Amino acid sequence: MKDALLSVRNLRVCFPTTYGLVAALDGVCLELEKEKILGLVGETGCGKTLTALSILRLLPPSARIVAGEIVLRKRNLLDLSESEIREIRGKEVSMVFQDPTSYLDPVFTVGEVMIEVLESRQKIGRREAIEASIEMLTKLRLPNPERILRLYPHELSGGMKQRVMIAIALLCHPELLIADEPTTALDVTIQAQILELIRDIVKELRTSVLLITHNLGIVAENCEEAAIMYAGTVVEHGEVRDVLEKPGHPYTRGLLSATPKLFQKKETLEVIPGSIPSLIDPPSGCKFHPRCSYAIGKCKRERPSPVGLEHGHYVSCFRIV
Amino acid sequence: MKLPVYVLKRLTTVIPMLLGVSALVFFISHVLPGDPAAMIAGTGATYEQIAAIRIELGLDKPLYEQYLAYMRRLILEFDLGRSIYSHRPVVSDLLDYLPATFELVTVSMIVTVSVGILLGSMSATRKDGVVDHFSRTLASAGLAMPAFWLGLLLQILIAHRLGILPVTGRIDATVLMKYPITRITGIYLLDTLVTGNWIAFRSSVLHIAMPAIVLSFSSLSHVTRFVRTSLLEVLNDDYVRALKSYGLSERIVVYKHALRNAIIPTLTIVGLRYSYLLGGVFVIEKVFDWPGLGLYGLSSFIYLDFPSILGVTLVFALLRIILNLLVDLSYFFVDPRVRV
Amino acid sequence: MNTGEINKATEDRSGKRRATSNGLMKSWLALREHPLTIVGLAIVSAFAVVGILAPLVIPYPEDIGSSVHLEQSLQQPNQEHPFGTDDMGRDILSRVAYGGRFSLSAGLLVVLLSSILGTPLGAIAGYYGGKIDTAIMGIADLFMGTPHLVLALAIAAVLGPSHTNAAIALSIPWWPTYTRLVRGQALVIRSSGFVEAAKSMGASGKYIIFRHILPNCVQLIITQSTLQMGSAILGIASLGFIGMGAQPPTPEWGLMVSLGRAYVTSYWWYVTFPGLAIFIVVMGFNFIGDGLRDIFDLKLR
Repeated sequence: MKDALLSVRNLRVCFPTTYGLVAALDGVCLELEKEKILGLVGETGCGKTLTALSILRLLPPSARIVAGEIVLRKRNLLDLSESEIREIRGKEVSMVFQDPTSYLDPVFTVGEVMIEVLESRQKIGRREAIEASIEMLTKLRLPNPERILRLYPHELSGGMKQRVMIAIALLCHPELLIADEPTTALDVTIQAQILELIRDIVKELRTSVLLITHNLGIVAENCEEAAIMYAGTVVEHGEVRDVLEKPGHPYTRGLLSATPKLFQKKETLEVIPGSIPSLIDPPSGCKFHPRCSYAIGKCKRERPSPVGLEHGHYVSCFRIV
Repeated sequence: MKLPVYVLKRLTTVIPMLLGVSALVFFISHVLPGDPAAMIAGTGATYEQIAAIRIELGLDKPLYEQYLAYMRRLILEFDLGRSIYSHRPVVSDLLDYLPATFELVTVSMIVTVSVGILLGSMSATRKDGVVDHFSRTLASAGLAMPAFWLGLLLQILIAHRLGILPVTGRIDATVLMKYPITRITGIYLLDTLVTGNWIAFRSSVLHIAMPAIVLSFSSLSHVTRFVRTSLLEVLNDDYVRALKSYGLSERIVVYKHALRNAIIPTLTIVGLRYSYLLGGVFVIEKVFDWPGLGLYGLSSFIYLDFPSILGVTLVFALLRIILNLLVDLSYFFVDPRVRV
Repeated sequence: MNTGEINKATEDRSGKRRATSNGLMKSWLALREHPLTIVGLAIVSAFAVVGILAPLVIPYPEDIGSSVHLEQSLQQPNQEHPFGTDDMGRDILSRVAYGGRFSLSAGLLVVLLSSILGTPLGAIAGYYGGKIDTAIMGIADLFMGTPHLVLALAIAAVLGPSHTNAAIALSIPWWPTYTRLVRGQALVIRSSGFVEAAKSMGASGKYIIFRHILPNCVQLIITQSTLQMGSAILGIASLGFIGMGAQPPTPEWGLMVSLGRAYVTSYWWYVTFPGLAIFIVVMGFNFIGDGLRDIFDLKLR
């Protein structure tokens, strides 16, 4: 794609286990355009968070990046040294995590962390750092930002903590923000607020977002593009309307029909038969074939490559419906 | 909550503790077999002599009366009785010897905490490296080493053979004569520092080095191990990953953030170790001829100087309680979640 | 960890300790993965064997007591006397070997006394709770509030300095350790619902404590005791060094170091070897204790 900010190509990440090397990510491909919001959707365990961590090279020490490229504006992040990737973190690519309570250092105030990030990453003085912090907190619609700077994480509510996390991540105006299930740990009423806030800010700061979630509804409301992940691979990728209204992959269809809709007159919810494949002994060929009602012999033998449906809409399936 | 409230809350536990400990020691020493009067009188004493001593010590009255009389004198007049051996008020004796012990224990604790944190964090960050194996071996050794033996070995090696540090004592006698120390607190290191008495300061530092290191050795082992474990755990915490994602340097993340969090539970260990430190004082002071409560206590134990024995035990209990209180207070400064 | 044990105990209707015998097998396999523990066991066994067989094995059996050979006094380590001789001309190797008896037996006594005293109190406090619990733990806190050695010294002084008295004196400040441990276990078991089931079938408190709470504490107590042995031996030696423990001419290690102190400038072996013995034995116990702690924890996870 021409305007891609981030391009993940065939990313394979493995973990050593007592059963040998297990592939948690098995050829992930993603494209994220500038100033767009891409929703990365999948069930728990499909590898969404791992993909995010790979971009920033924050994987657990036992993980091995076995193959693939992560290209950020013409540079392969996987080729960078430790200090080079550290330069990127926070300044070009930043991350917001799922549970703000455990992701904030309990013994430092909000202000101390924010000032520290600004001083060390932007090389500005303390007074400027304080002003910039207050400005960012205000953007996140936090009341009384001067006071918040002096508070500790345990003195803030869940929603406030998440806003603070987002504020810290955006302090250096990164080009790409990775949000890993940013609202999952919050009350439903606050979820919508935070997501709307994220949408507004990234528009203002012209940041691209990789929004990770398991909730199709969130994708529908907030994202411009969607990528569906299953068992360590991306099975469908395209603009949100295309993917959700004209799903090409059987798994996507299954997900959509399993989601209850308002005014639906069904008695029972549709379920995708079977369960997520084990990583230790994965299915051959297409990972989804054991659960797929459209599977044919070829699906068992070969892995499908992405096929273009329409402009920008790709599906990895031999039997595109 | 505010600091004064916190302090007050902690203090309310101190009084019952002291009362309890004094009762405990009092009753144990009087309940156990052995006739103090007879032992004081010595072999060959006549019955009348023993009886006279018994009356003099008030040992003929019922136990609880003795205890009440003792406590009344203690609380109202700060009088712990008179030492049978030195014939001075026990309180004076205790105050005389207290500063030396306090100095020794405090310096030991400083050594323990600083070296422990240093070694522990280096072990954790370079896990299974040279420093890690070295400090873990050292820690294992420290837990098994008899303090008096280590002290003697160091005396042989460093003092006698190499002559780097003095063998015993708190300060060089000739130095003390030529550069007398004005007694403000009784703590030589402080008093000499404050009055600018550099020669005496240097001598005091040289003299306290070995006893403090030996005293701290076993606690050092505990603290090093604990800091290592604690830091390794903290490094797995979520917020460490978040801090890294902001691009902060390894050094800041580990030594500013992770270590700070890892130290909090370490304080508990430090508090626990104070008890052992205070016990170890007896042995160390004997080995190094350190004129503190340990040495004083030893002579009162050997001579069965009951008022002294009671006084020494009470003071040690009090010291332990106060030091624990200080550790408790430090929680307040180090962990913001406690201030709620 | 306790639920696993409890489940095993409840499933086993015959009431026999079948679970334990499986446990032993697993323990043996686990032991093999902890070489240091085996080293520790070897060390401790060596000292124990030497101590028990001492009169038959040591080169100069008459030197254990108060024999005097002044012409041989303070000899450097040599072929006849690998550890040298002391100021009375006695062979230090024989005395150190024999001294193992005192240290090991005293350590054992301390651990036994404090565990026998502390364990039932902990079970009672944890099981009955309420005022009994507060009372027992209050007293325990008092004992823990005084530095152990100080209390032990006071007691030893009053009892009169001797080896046995030192052991008794040391065990008194230590019972709270066991009490706390067992109480914790008892609390967990009490809240597991299992106790209610037993009570509904008419089991009395004593029965529950003896048949169910205490057996579940065995591993804990054993591990703690092993770790405590090291500290006990150090404590006994310290009391001996101070003069509150064994008296001359007993070849107790701490006492020997204390006597050797006078000659430390020129006759280093007098002080070194008894102290070395203490160090090695305590290390041995620490290795065992560490290994046990690992093994039991691993199994129970």
